[in-house]
Amino acid sequence: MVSSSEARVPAVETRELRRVFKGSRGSPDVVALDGVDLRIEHGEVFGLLGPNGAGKTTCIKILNTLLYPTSGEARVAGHDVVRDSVEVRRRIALVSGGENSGYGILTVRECLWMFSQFYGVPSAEAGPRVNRLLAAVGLSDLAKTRINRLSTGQRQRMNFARGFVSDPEILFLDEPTLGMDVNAARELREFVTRWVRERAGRTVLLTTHYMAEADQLCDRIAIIDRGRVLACDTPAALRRSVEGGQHVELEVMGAPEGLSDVDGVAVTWGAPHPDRGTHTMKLRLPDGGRLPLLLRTLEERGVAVRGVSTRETSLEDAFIAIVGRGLDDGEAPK
Amino acid sequence: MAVIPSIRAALSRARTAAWLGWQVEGNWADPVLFSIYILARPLATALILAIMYSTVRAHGADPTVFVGFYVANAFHSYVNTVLVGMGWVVFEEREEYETLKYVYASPVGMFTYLAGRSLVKFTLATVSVVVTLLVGWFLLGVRWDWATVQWLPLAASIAAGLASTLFLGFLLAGWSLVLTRSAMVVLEGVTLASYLLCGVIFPIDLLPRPLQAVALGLPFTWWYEALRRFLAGHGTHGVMQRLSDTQVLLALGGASVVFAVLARWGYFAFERRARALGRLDQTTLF
Repeated sequence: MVSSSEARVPAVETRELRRVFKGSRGSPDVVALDGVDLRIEHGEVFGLLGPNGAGKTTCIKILNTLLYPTSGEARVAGHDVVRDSVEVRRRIALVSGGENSGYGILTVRECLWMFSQFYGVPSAEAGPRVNRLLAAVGLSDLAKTRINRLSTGQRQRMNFARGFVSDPEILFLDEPTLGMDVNAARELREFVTRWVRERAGRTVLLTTHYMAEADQLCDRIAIIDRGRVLACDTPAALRRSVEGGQHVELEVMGAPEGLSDVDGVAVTWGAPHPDRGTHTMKLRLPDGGRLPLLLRTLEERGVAVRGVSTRETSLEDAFIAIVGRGLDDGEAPK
Repeated sequence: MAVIPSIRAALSRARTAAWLGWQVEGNWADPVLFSIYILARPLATALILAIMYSTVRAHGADPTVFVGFYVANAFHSYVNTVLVGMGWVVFEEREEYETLKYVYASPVGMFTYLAGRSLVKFTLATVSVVVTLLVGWFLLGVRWDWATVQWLPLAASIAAGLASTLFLGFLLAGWSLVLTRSAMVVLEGVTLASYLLCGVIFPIDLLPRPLQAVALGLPFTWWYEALRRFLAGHGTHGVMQRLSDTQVLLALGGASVVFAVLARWGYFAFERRARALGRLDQTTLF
């Protein structure tokens, strides 16, 4: 539980946080964080959503006392990450996805037990907690298996469990499901939801570039790009911020060269359908009434429409509208 | 008082780190193979030393000199295993296991963690020292008069030498936080340099003058001299010969204190630098 006095200060707070990496051998400096302001309350699951290189991991590293900021301020549970690192470390845990870390010579259980001891978990609590976590991540059968015999996915699940072994006040999940199979990722997301719900005041800061993950888990999301927070709100509010139109997907035969807009409406293209030879056109119409007009224009241009579907505004739509490009797209034209 | 629980917590964490150290160091499923691993290097060095001195002795060298250098060579296992080994801990954890950032960001504290990890290295080095001395005593004629052993100064010098090893180990571990793949070269270099500089197998008088000054500033030089005098009964010839036992002991104590302070300051300076550069989780090798 978080005490009432601790609850008054935010779980995580950054002010004008900036980090510049010096360029090497004549290359220019890289501004990873450029004046980031965040305020995350106790009990929140907060998402940092952004493309690769947006500054998410740099932010997590600073908050986890692994990296100094160039300027600005970062506080975790009210403690300054630079001046009061020891107090910060007592309250946090970190899980980084997509990596193969671990002492290969230890068994899965030994590894989790060891970290529980580093965090000062009493032995009487550590054993049952390790067992519960192993069951939660589906590794009970492999508890006595050496880490170097685990598959990459199993190692990732073990590292995920390691993050929870201290029952931390503030948990940092840096791309926790990166590279995991769909089922494992879904189970771990459900586990995080349960973990937060069952423990009042526990806070999670999640970085991800999976839209669905952010949408499902997060109470609030900050959209970050090129080291700056561009928007910060609940997923619903972010979606609402770009509503006012209708998202239309058309399955069409033949993709006319250079067709980037129809009647002034921007078009993005999906991958061709391998069997039917069709393409998916994606558009956002300012109002639903324009759809018949659009279909007529396409017909006049000789584009055969095989199917039409409309859908609700997604977080991805909001992201594209705010950032100017999708998560997996390259740099937007300047 | 909050001090006692803090100390208790630190000891518990150090014990866990020591346990991890044992798992890592003792990861040689075959005990025979493991024994050979921890004994082969010091014994091989001792045998090379024996062959060298048997050649020199044929040309009239003082046989007591060999005893002194053999003892110093045996104790140099601490420097090879503990001091350099602590640098290796950092390097391996960051580059091979990729666990350094998790350890660093936990409340364990790197000083406590490294101290715990060094415990097994001290144990292994002690085994190596004892076996090397036993081999010397029974097979190579490395003998001393037990009646002349100065036990109290010997115990004090061993305590100071081991403390210096630990503190300089912290310094080297700190340096390894900053270094990337070049840490391997640096750690090997420190092993070699300490062997040549500290009068392990030849008097420091044979070094060029600037290096003599460096050697006299290092606690290990004084430690090995103290071991020769208080255990083997003979110091080295040359510059050291002019000093009394008390002066040697004071020099060892002084150098140890200076290096302890320097190592503590240096470790945290390196740690701050590593954190500024983002090196704590940077893998550059494996």
